[in-house]
Amino acid sequence: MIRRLAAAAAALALAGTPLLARAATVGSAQLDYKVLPYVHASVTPNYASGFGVAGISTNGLGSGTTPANGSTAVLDGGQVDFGNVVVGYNYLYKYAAQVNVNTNDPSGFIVYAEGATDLFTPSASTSPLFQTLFWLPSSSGNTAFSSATSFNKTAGTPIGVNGVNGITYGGAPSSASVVWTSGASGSLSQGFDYELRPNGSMAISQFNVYIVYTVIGN
Amino acid sequence: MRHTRNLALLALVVLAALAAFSQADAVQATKTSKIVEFEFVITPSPAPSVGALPAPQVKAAAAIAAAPRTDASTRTLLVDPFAGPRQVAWGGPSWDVAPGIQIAQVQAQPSPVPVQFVTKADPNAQYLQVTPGSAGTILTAVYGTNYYACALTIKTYYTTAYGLTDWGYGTSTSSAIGYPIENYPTTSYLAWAAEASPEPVPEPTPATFTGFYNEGSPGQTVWSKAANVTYTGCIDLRLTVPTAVAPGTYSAVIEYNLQVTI
Repeated sequence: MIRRLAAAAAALALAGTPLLARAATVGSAQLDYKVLPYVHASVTPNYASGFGVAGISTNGLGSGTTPANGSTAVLDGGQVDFGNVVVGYNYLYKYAAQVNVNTNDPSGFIVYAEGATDLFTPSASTSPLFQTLFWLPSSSGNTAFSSATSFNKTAGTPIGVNGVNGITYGGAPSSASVVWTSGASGSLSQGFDYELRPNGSMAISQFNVYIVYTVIGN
Repeated sequence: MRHTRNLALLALVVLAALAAFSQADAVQATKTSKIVEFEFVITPSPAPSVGALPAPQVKAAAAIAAAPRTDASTRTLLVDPFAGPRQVAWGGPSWDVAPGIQIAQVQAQPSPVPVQFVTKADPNAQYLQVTPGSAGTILTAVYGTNYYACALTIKTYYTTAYGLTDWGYGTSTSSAIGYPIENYPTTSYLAWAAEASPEPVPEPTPATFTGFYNEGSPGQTVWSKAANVTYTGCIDLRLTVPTAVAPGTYSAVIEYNLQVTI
């Protein structure tokens, strides 16, 4: 659409010139135009069969308990629900989230992921998200002790109760929260596993947090 | 008579064997274990400062902003737009977005991913507690030698004589664990020293560190205590970063085991 408008404007400019001219003049115009870039993105929790904490022999290793997914975890939706976890032990949640990006930006994009808040309980007390919940690219070889990167609590403003509707940023999210970069356009996907390392001093409670993914074109 | 004597001898042999093996069995059993994971973030040395010179793209943007708007050809064009040779209209790069100037970037923010878990108490907390120090388990490192005072606080207790052992998780004499704990026979680049907790402030650097055991079980003894003794110790860490290691994040996973007498 923009291309057609630009071409029409050029044609009009050239066609109109003789009417105003004292002598016939011809010319040519070279137009460089930009196509408006777009970035579309979606995130799918529990995006593949076999998702969750079940079946990973290193989950809670040493705790003497058998991990199981929480009831709110369902394929292609729901929550990333680790179920019951024993403090002081590590857990891996496979296929936690898949980020799908569709963009025409030839320079690609950057994906950020941050916690809208710290971990919060039903009674509104909190516990640090940093160094408790981690992410790593999905891979069949991941274990509860694979190297991972901690999620950060955002410096932006959560939207809705506890950030249920996302985060508002004054600028871009922190560069420390980059989880994926791409230098190409197209429809691309990246899956992520989550790791949970609840400190032995954490309170005994239910904890929740919203992880917000933000995709920005380069 | 001879038959009776043989039976008595056989009984003695069996008793001796039982005594010997039952003593061996009584030595140790693993009561509980804890696995701790550190992420060491190795950063390169900072680049030397060159003062407050503006970045090239900033200078380019400034030059464009200061460029004269009406040169001679422009003035001629204003007086007589159709004079002179035939011209080709062309908007060159100067009409593009100047380098260093940001335009609004497109972005998208899908619905957040809700995460939930329910914590449960550690049933073995009365016997073995491993608590990261105030810096947590994500530690920064530079090239050379790095010390981390009281990176872990470990509390142990049991009703019989016990010992605390450690080794690099996943190590053995045949696997391929990489930096920093490596794998036998390579010496671990991560070493530890145990001290009583709390440590004095400022805490002196221990004179002796021991590289983490990287041959798997049975590992090495961190400390041994008598029955019913509650002991809390600090684990100092020392990480050596050779220049051959690229900047990045490296995991070190350590397994602690409480070996108790049964």
